[in-house]
Amino acid sequence: MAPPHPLAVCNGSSGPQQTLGSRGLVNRTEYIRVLEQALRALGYDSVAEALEHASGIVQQPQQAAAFRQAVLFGSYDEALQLLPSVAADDGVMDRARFLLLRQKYLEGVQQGRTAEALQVLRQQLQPLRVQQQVLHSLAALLLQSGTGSGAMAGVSAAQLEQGRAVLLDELQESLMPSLLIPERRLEELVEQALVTQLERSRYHNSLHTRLSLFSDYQAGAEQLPTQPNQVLEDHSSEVWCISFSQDGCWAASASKDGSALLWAVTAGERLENPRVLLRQPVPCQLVAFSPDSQLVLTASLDSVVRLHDVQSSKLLRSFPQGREAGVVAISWFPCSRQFLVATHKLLAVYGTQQAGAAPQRRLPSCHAFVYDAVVLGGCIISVGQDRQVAFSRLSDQRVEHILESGTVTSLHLSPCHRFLTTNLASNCVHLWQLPPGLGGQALAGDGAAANGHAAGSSDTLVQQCQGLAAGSSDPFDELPSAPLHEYRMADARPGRYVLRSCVGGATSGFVACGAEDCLLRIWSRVSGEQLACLSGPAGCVNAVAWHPRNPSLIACASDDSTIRTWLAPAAQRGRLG
Amino acid sequence: MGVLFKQYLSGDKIYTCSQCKTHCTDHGQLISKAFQGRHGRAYLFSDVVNVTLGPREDRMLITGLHTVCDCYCITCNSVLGWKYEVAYEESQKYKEGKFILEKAKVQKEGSW
Repeated sequence: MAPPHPLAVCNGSSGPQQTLGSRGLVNRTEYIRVLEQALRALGYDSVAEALEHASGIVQQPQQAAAFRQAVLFGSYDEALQLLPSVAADDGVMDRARFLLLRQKYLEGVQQGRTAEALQVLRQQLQPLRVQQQVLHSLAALLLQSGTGSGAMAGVSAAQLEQGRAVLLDELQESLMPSLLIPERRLEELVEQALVTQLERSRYHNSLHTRLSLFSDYQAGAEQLPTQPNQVLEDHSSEVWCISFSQDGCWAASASKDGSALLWAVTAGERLENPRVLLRQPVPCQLVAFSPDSQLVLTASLDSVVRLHDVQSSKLLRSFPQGREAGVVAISWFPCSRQFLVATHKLLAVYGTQQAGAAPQRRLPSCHAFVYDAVVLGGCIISVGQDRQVAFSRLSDQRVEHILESGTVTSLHLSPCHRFLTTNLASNCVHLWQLPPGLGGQALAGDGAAANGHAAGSSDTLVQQCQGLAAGSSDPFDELPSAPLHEYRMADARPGRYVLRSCVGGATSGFVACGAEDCLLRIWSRVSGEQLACLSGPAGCVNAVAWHPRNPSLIACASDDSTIRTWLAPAAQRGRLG
Repeated sequence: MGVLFKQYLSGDKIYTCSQCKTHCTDHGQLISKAFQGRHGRAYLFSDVVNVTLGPREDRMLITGLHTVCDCYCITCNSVLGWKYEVAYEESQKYKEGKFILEKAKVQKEGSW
């Protein structure tokens, strides 16, 4: 039996025009109903009723209001009775019934009314022909709560309310939206419009944006770091790598003259006070700060990886890699106690507190030769001579590949861990979007707590069930097959050097990379177009780093032995946060 | 001049630069061994890595007029051979886009 058509219930279909807005897209009836819902949500029930009287359009028909009330107050039997009149069609009614009964069962378990809960399980859930697995796991919850009875008893009213609100959201899929308007619909629409404005502004780069409903958000090019700030000439030869620490207080640079310098980033956005981390006769290739910004690693051409303390700039440990090894990458794990060293043939995991100089763990590499590697949570991303970008998860040894179109010379991960840039030998940069949750849990055995599966905790109980019904998917199955964007540098000829790009900006909205033609280019991450081209260095720009906390500061390392920094003009005038 | 990117080839039969041992090409890319370079025998390969190309110039070779670019090893900058860009006679068109490496300038990696 199909529910009555909503417009037949309301009147007011003749008279004033039916569409509003300059483009004629907004339906007048829907508009008024959404307004009424917003007024009620704000607490102005009397105003909403006055609007209903005056316009003749009710927010929702009687049975929908009654259904909503029933769910929010927990009278599930009444809700089940009203279900046929509000459900979209018969197909989804089973799912809606299951959700209502499951919530009834869970509340019974949480409040300790186990006999009632059992009755629900046997007499009402069983005949619904739900999967056996789901029924068994629900029954298991009953047993769990039985043993930890103390923690079960007190479930606050607020948690109940929250659970029911979540249930209503889940039920929305099964109901006709025109009968029961999704909760907070007007706020949702307004936020969609604001988000679109933010995404449309190509230069958006400030941390503290005040979005107003009165006018569209416009960000100008003065938010990009295009104004030269400093030229640091403390190195005596080509600078090969530069990096900022995660907390934004330090920067480190590695140079061909064999030294690695540690800089302090002042509040005035200047890099000052260089201290020597390392001085060797062989060039220093790489620097990497630990995620907690306490330690920094350097790698030199003599195949030795050294660990230094940031505050005192003292050398703590050295890890020699073997004479002809050739370190290609160093990368930290999120716990800041383990790091990965990649040489051409081997990926090895070391601990900062370990006893000897041998690696804690050697990982099989699926490439014949490794060109670069980076750690993402519990997963290692590596790239090699077979043009494959390999993702290998440490917990279960699962490996997946993405095929790149050319030889990849370097990799960079964005600070938010959602984007990966690959530099190709053919002088272009590819931007890949990574599925969320790719890093997953941290490495086992480093003492970090796993996701809360603590038994006896009442809200994780509901979370567990919701996860069971939904079915979690493995992010490894959702790897992209094509890059989001391809950014070309001007030179079409293949490049000779390893160039390092970076993703930065307030919302990771920009990709920056230096090139052999001595220019630093900044592209938009969202639209793919080139936004700025900075000149200044007199040699190939080897590496770029965007400050992780202050989106208006960018630094580059160049072959003319200088480190140059740029600031955003808006920041210099004190307008950005 | 920046960190040089050296490509590595996987396989059993690799030819490398005789001075710096940088990988150049693979036996699978070999087309012909019957060529003459400036200093003796030379081989024709379809693809070579880790070389940079010099400017184009017209040269009169044994087989006729060609436009070629010299190839330099990226690590040690020694001239390894040249690349055919344009061949002006129909019978020589098959060489376009391919590389000549002189036997004296390359050696086999390992023993094969």
